[in-house]
Amino acid sequence: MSDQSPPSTTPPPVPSDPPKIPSSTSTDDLPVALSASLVLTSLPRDGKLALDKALHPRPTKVNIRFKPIGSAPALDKAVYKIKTSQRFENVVKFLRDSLGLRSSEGIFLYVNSTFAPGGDENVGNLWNCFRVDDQLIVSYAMNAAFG
Amino acid sequence: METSDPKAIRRAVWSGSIPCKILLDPGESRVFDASDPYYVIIPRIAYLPFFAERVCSFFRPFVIDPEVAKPESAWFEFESVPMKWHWPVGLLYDLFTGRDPAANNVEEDDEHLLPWTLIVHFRDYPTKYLMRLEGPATCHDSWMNTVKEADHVRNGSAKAVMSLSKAESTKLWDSLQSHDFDQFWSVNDKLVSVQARNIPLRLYIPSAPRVVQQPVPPNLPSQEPQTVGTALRTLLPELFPSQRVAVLARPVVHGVVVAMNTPLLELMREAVYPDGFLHISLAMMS
Repeated sequence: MSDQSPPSTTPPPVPSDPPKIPSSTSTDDLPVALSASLVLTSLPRDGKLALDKALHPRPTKVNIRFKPIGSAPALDKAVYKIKTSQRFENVVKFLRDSLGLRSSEGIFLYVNSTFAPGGDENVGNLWNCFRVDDQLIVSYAMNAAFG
Repeated sequence: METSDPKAIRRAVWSGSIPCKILLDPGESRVFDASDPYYVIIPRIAYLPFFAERVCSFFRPFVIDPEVAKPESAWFEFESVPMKWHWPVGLLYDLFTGRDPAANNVEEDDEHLLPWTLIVHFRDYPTKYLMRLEGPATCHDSWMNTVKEADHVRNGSAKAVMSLSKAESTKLWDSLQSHDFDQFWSVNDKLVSVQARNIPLRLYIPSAPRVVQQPVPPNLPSQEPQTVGTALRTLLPELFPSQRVAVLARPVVHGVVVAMNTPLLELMREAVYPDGFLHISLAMMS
């Protein structure tokens, strides 16, 4: 397995107003199973309100910095803003679209040159756990880079 | 349980299982009256694709188009919800049944939920909800990435996982699939019995489901140990107005309600899932 040095602790300065990654319009997380929904409909009012608040936190925006690895082409801009409510697959889609990849072409994205998040992982969670200097560092390669 | 065994909790977690009844989607069955069900006991720490080949061989004679009945095209549904293959089965059960393990009463016991009835499909893969399985390697790669992600949370980098030998990382995956406790823990102990910088924790809120993941240090600023209650109170104040008492929701790990005063670091070391995360689902109290 390859062992990569951690990302540089002094990344280039963040532009004052980075371009935005368009939000995915689909709200398609998994539906509720009947068993669970029966529990949820019988909740007391307090519980319902609390659950609703916990389920729909107010989205904020965070910065993602893209870093090409090896022969992967660079983007015009390195830093983009994205809503914390988005899923990581939307980051993958944005990168694929920006690079004009055909559906047959693969691309591999890594957080902190370490691991490839699942497409269903939440961008806000990733930023909370792995940000470096307030940016989520996403490196990408045309071939699998980190075993 | 033999309490003098220091590995007693790890063993209990490892041997937890869910009896399942798997049915073929009637629309894909060429048998008019529905095919036989397939019964299987699935370890809570396992993943659905581990069973896809067996399920596939069992149902192939009943499927209208046997060509499509391949392990990688199999997907499972519970009450019309596609089940994520990269989440452990025990977590899926706890989260999607919404079961509150502490609310057992005599009239309405758990029996209506067991065996856990899943429907298998081989057609119309729900790409909107589930990642594609391109073969057995997809499940391994996804799992390995989660192991690295957990290590990154624990240590600030994935060095501990990266420095495992090829033989050790192969052993981790193989022993998870073959359900070999001693083999798995001979390697995994190195990863989790460390002075963690943060606890790899994922909280699952029922109904969406929403996953909450934030770095949680093992100690509070006061140097008191972080407990299940202090972490929940910090991460989800709406659902956990108290750090001592469950008021609106109960934390569930491996199908068991955990006490709010359980130290989180110890809980992680003993009750961690094989992917390196402590997955806590919340059961709403009605």
